[in-house]
Parts: sequence; C-alpha cells; structure tokens
Amino acid sequence: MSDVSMDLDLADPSGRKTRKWANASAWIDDRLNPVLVKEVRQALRGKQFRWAFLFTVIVSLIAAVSIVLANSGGAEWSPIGPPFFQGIFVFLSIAVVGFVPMSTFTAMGAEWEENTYDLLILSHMRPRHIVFGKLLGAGAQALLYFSVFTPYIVFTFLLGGVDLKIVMISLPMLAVISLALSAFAAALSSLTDKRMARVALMVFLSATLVNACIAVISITFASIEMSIDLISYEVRLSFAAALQVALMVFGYSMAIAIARLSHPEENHSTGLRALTSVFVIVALGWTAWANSFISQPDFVASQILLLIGVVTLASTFFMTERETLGLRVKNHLPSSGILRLLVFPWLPGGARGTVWMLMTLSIILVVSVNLMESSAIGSIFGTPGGLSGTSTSGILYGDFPIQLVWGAAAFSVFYLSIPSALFTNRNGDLQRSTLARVMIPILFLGALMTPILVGFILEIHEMSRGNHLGNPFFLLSELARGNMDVSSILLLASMALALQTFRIFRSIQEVKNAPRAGALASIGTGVALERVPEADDDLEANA
Amino acid sequence: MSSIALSVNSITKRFGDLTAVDRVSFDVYPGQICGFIGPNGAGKTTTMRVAATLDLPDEGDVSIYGASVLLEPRLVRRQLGFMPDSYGAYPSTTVEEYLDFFARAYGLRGRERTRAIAYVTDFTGLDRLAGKLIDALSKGMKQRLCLAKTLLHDPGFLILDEPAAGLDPRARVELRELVRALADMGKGVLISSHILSELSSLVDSIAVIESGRIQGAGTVDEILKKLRPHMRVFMRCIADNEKVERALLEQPGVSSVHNERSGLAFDFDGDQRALAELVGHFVTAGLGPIEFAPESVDLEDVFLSLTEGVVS
Repeated sequence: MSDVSMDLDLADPSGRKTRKWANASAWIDDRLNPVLVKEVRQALRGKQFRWAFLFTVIVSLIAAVSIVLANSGGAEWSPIGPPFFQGIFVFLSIAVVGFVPMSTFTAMGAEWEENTYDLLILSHMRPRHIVFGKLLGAGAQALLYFSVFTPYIVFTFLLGGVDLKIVMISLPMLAVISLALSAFAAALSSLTDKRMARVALMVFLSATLVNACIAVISITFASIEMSIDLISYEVRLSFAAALQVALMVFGYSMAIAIARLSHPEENHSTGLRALTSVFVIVALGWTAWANSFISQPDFVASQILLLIGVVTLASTFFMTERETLGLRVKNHLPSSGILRLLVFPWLPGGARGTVWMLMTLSIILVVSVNLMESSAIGSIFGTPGGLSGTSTSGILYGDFPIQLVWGAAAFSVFYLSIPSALFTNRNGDLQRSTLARVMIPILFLGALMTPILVGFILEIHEMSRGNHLGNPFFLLSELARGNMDVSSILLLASMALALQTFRIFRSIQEVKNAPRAGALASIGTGVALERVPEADDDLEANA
Repeated sequence: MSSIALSVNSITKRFGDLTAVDRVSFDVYPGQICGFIGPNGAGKTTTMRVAATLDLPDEGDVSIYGASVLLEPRLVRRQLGFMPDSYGAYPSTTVEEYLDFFARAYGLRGRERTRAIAYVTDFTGLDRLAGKLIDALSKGMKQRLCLAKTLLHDPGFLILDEPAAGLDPRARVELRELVRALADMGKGVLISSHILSELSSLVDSIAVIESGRIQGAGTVDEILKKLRPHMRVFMRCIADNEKVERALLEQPGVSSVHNERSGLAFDFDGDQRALAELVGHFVTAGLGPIEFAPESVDLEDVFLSLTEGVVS
C-alpha cells in the first residue's frame, strides 16, 4: 500500500477511488525510466528549454497572425487557413525537428561532460535503458510542443483552405521524423567524448537538422499549394518509403548508441546483426506483400538493391570487427554445440560477419528469385522464369533481369572480402579494423577511377567513359541488358571469398572450443573461476 | 559469500606502451578500511576503476565478495559502491531529485526507495538540504551527497577515490567519521587519499603503490615491522648516561645505543610488553628514567620509506 493511500479514509467510496488512482499512479511512477524522469525534471527547471519553448510559442503566434493579417487585405477573398497553417507549421517543424534532436545530442553529451556516465553504468541501468530514457525525454519535449501547436493547426482547418488530410498526415510524419532524428542525434553523441570531435559532430548534426527542417517544410508546403492527391499510389509509396527510412535510421541509431555505451568487452555486434536480419526479413516480406497489390517493378527492384546496399554497409563493420570473442561474450555462449552453431553468424567477430553477410545475401537472393519467378512479378520483369525482360518504367537501367541482383550481391562480396581478409584484426588492434574499413571504399573507387584516368591519358574513349571491368555500374548495366554473363563476376567473388576460408575456419574453432559457461579461465592468471549465477536476471524477472 | 571483501589478484593494465598497473595484488576484508596510497600517476585510480568494473585488466582479476569483475560485472556492481574522484552532479537538480534518480537507477521502488533516500540523507546529514539545488551546495556537502548516492543500494564494499580532496578540515573529520561508521557496519572500504595524516587515524591496513607496483601491503604495524625490525627508543635518566648505557646493553633486545640530545637513543627488538618491563627495570634499578619515548612512526614515514617519488 502506498503512503498516499494510508492517509485516506477507507470507508469513504470517493477516498477508495482516489486511493486506486494513487496506487495506479505510484505503480506507473515506479516503472518510469529513471533517465526520463530526470530529463523532464531538468528540462522543466532548466532555462534552456523554458526559454526555447516560450520563444517558439510566442514568435510562431505573432508570425502566424502577421501572415493572416497580411493576406486579409487583398481585394479578392482567399482562405486564410493555408498561410496560418504554414506559419505555425514552420515553427513547429523547427521545434520538433530542430530543437528536440539537438537537445537529445546535448543531453547524451552532458553525461560525459558532467562525469555522470560512470555513475550511471555502475547502477543497475543497462545502456539500452539510458539511450531509451534519453529518447523518451526527447519524446516528452516533442509532445509538449505538439500539445501547444496542434490546436492551432487544427484551427487552420476551420479557417478553410487546408485539407484535413494534410493535417492528419503531416503531424504524425513530423513526429516520426523527430523521433528518428533524435535517435540519430543520440547515436552521434555517443560516438566520442572528445571535445573537438563533439564540436564537429554538432556542426554536422546542425546541418542535417537544418536540411531536414527545410525538406519537411518544403514537402508540406508543396502538398498544400499543389493540392496533391494524398491517397494516390505515388504519395502512398513515398510515405511508405519515408517511413521505412525513418524506422531504419531510428533502429540503427538506437543500436549504435547502445553498442557505444556498452563496455569494450561486452557484445557490441549481436544486437546490430539481429536488427539488420529482422530489418531484411521484414523488408522482404513487406516488399512481397506490397507488390501483390502495387505491382510496380521499380519498387521491387529498388527494394532488393536497397537491401543489398544495407547488408553491404552493415557488413563493412561486421566483417572488420575484432576476430576474437570478448571474455564477457564467451561467458554467455550457449552450452549446447548445436545452439552455438545456430547463433554463430550473429556472434561478434569479423569472420562470423562474413558468414552473416553470405547468409543474409543468400536469403535476399532466394526471396528475390521467388518474387521474380512468381506470376505477378514475372509479368513485370519479363517472361515467367524472370531471367530476362524489361521493366515497365525502368528507373534503374531500363532492364532488370535477375542477373543484376546476383551481380550486385557478387560485387558486394568481392569488395568486402579482400580488405577484411588482408587487414584482419586478431588482437583487438583498432587501427587494423579502421584500415580495413577505409580500404573498402578505396578499393572500390580505385577500381572505378583508375581505368577512367588511364583512359583519359591514353585517349581510350571506352575506358574514359567508364566502360571497363572495374566499374560495377557498367558491368551491372551490361548484365541487365544480357550482354554479359554473371558467372564471371561470381567467379571473381568466389576467389575473393576464398581468402576468408582460413579466417572462418579459425572462428568456428574459437566458438567450438570456447570454455563452457560453467568454468572460464580468467585472463592472464589462468585460474578457473566458477560462474556465479547472474542476480540481475532475477531482478529483471521480478521487474 | 567469500570471507575476503576485495581480492586484487595480480592485475596488470597497460595503455599502449605504458604499464599503468603491474601485477598488483592485495586483499581487503569485511569491516576493514584499506588506505590505498601512492604518488600522483602511481596507478591508484586505474586499479580502482578496474575493481569497479569500469576498466578491464590486461592480466589478472579482481573479485568482490567472490564475484569476478571479468565474468560477473553486474553481480560485482550490486555489491559495490564506487565514489570516483570527479563525482558527477546534474545541474538544475535538487538533492532529493538527485538521490531519487539514482535510487530509481538502482531499481529501488515505492517505499523501499523512499526509505533508502531517507536513510542515506539522515546518515550523511543531508536531510535538511533535500530541497536545495546541488549547484548551491558547498564542496563538502557535494561529497556527502556523492557518498549518499554511493550508499543507496546498501553495497557491501566501498571504493572511495580521493574523497577528502578539496575539503576543509571540519568536512574531512566528518567524512572520516562517516567512513569509520560504514566500516563498523561490516562494509569493506578501499580509500585513496593524498592526505596521509587523515588516513593514518582511519585505516586498518594500507597498500602503497608506486609506478604501478605495490611497494607494501598489510596493516601499518606489519609494514613497519618489515621496514624497521627494531623499535627506536629515546631515554633520559637522572643517572649519568654512561651508567645508563651500561645498564641498557645488559638488557636483552637492546642494541645500537648512542648519545642523542641529553639522553640516549637505542634500538629495541621486542614488543610493547617487553618495553614496559625494561622501563620497570630502570625504575627499580634506581636509574630514574624521566623521559622515555618510543619513536612514533606515522603513515607518512612509512610512505616515504616505501616510495621513491617515481611516477609511471
């Protein structure tokens, strides 16, 4: 029973009701994220938020009223809703897309600057609680802005000239973008505690937020002025794509921030790998489902190539991680050999990253082949069987045979396998990981640009135009047109992959031979230590 | 639960080419206060951060009540209260809100949280400052607040890194009393400080570190015994020094007698009881001892004897 309830008269029915509310509110209060509670308390007492809030509200109202007055003086009557809406929307966008993510960046950075990060880590809070708490704090701030501005925006509908659909779509989209950018800001802020680097990151974030504000405002204004049909296929597709990108930014930013806050010996990789796997599977499922009624080949094509791009980007980091498992990761390996084998691709380590990439690309290829061979897609991509044909609108190359997907996957394998094998980080030497990551784009650009430069110098026009074997875009377009067979690129990728064989074999051995969870040898001393049951698991179970 | 509160087992920590901590080992028992002393850059904070699970050792291990910092960091954190040298305080936050936040972070709920906050504020004497902004607190009060935060989850072992730094004499005395009270509750304490005079009246044992290596560890008496096997004693008697010197040399355990000021100084190999018997013998022998002073050796002397002022 809470303290509040004890003071109430139990015989009094109204008191009983109050007691229930008090108990419910105490129950909720106990389960609130501590960081959220702290952030809200600090924000409400701090000058920064109070002044920003008051300034935004007052200036936006003055601006909106001024716009309305300026528009009402004309000889011809025109609805005053749109200018009023635009005035309010600009300031709301600046507040939730500009101020809120920036405050998340500074809130994350404050933990370093005020030397409180260690204190947080030593409490029972995990990095994910800290990051979620910061985001919830940002969400609470955004909610406050929305609660003030939304009545005015709805009011613009009553003034006439503003489609309610615009209001109904623009506000949730603004909220989603604000959340995604706040997560992005949290991830950026978690990257470093070095002052100069943080200043550079803040400048970068400011530029990103300014551009995001301009984009959001421009798109919304264009929707009003051009009277775009908001339920048309193009608009729905655009919203779906924007939502997908926002969710992806949100998910990855969260995963990066959580990984950055974790201890160096903790598992930084499995969460990101699992998230990417889930993202790929959901995106493939969504693509298949959406295509069943949208029936747009460009959509399928772009989705599959986008997924290969995402997997390539993620693998750039996974394949260049430190090879060996951290001690705290080893301690949580499953005892069963079969389970170890099943989780193998999701365990940290460069070679395991290679296996993860191959597995994920295989899933994408199998699903894409099935999609293209299905009758619905086959009619779009060409003949049933789908190995050649022409796209109806062709935003990519005009043609989209399945060999293009195979070719893109093979290029991904080729460009990732060579640097990650040559600069394997066996002893936790971060410089080797960085070198491998830098070498991937250098190899790509080197193969692309060197023949072009040679072509210019030697006046070989085909080469100088980029029509050479080092240019993946040229080769993919040749594949798409059926002028080339994918087998040669697959052979090239297989040869690059062969460099990974020893590495993969050794990583399998490491997982296979890692000490059972019951007894682990401690570093250096070689003393076998009994594993103490994790009391935190009990705590979490109780929670 | 292990009978050793903290066991530092041959830990080594390197930062690039620099070996900050080199095979450091020592133990602290429940209810014991261990002073961790050494010059700046000796490796104290690094060792403490390893013990607090914030850094990992390159070699060796640390356990707190049997839980390894390498393998069970979360279990260690449940048993541990760590007060870093640069404590953190949030701006625009009151004492009560600060403690409430950390109580929540430690998973305390409802009345349990209220009780814990009330207990630590009462223990540290912050109860009357609950509504005050942290920014407005004095340095001593901020240290108390940090200690209160450290005690919220009732840890069995405390690591206090330079808690007395920057405090005025009164605040130091008060802090010392708080730490003593915690040890009396059965909590093990590892405390580092530059102010050796403060530590000497507080600690039960010490670990002296220099250039990343432990120069000596154990109780102050044990270390003294190693450093100076013989007790140095000054004596002045009514009888003349020659007579006294002869009498002294006849006594067991007495050596190196020489004139010093207007009396005699000698080395004595024996315990306090033997020394008392020696004085009794001089009284009964009619030599009239009027000044008898075993040389007091404090922590500062031990520290200076063990260290050479080398910084790693």
